[in-house]
Amino acid sequence: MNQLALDNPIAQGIDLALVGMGIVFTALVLVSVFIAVLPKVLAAIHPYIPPAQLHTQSHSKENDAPAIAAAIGFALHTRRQSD
Amino acid sequence: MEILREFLTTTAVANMSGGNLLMLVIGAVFISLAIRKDYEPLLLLPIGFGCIVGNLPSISSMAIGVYDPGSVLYYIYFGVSQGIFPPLIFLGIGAMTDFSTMLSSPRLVLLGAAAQTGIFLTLIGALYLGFTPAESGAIGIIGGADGPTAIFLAAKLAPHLLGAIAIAAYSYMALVPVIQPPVMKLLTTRKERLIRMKPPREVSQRAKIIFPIAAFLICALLAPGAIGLLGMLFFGNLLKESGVTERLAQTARTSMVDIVTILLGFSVGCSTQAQTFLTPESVLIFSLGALSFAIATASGVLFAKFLNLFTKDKINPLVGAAGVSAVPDSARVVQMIGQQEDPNNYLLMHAMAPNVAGVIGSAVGAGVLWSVLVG
Repeated sequence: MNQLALDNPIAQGIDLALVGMGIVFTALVLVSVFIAVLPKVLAAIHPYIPPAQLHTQSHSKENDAPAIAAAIGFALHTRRQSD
Repeated sequence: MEILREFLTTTAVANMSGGNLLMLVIGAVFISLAIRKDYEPLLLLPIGFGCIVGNLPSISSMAIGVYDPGSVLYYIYFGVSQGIFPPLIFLGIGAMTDFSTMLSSPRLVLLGAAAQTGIFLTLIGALYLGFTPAESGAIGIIGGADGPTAIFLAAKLAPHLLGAIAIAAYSYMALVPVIQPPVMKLLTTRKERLIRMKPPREVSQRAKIIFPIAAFLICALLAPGAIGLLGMLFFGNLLKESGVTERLAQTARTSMVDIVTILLGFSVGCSTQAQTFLTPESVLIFSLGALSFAIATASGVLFAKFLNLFTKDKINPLVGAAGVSAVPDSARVVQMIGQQEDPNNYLLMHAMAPNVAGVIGSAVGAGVLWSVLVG
């Protein structure tokens, strides 16, 4: 874009602005269209790839670890208190 | 006695200039705004203290400042000058962003695109004022209202303006609650501000997982210059939404982003040495930055009104102001202005959609400017 510095930078700046806005709009329009059709695509593939195949359950396992450790600790503490 | 006299000539007191004193006051103002007004404290406080550190002069033979090779501050500032910190911050932002509202209201994504008008109109304004095309691109990105993106692009296109652009971008991000409301009220009627929007619909976990991959591909294929920023943003989001990397997502959105924010804010503050920062160009950059923010806000609001001409379910035009990517501050401002008219109108969730779309839009805009103006 070195030619911008040449003849008429304002006019070429306007060109760049139009192209830039065009690309930003194109990208976000495509993202918007993708978001709009995504539920339909997911509904179509649902019978073939059910959501259960997603390994989201490990999320809760990881989150549960401190709670399980606390529960074990509490149980041991209660047991020792009663001994 | 001679040694004492020689030592005294090396002190900051002996070398202090009026410009340094002014920057010390500006640093103190930033710290005050962060603590007293709660304006972007996570950024303004490190930047403010960095201003103070960077403006205590030292003798030239001692490597202390960010511009002195070999100094500690030079190595910290390396992450800014080479554009390393902004993508890391984007990773953290991705790991803390919930795209659900955007996924439930695809039309609101367009408001995030409209608000990027501020970037490109400011670029034309900067060209008109005599800045070079590369400098104009770096200044224009302030209108994206996205500090990391502004730093990233300035580091690539106009490193000599980096300090002024970074300070302008973060200052105006902090001043979103001051700059946006007058523009929003000026461009909307009370009736429009009272519009209630339908609640967002439920989004499946599977959609949340697919989205970052697909959106990255769409944006990066169109604007490869945005790969560094958007790649990290969507990678961070995938870490969050996949459900199998919660530890990584947790680190990215907490410890990692905090460490990078400290280093970035502090070193950007240190880079504002009076000798390089207090220039006529900096004043112009600050003026253009304010104008850029106002244009971006106005563009988002006006585009929402334009969309209302064609849609049955009306959009509250205030939501358009959240198209600038100051997340979540501009969405909060939308909520605040909306509730001034109707305390039971909750616009925050709706405003988050253009807000995160604005982050994507400004990164795409930066990618386009980098591709076209580099070299």
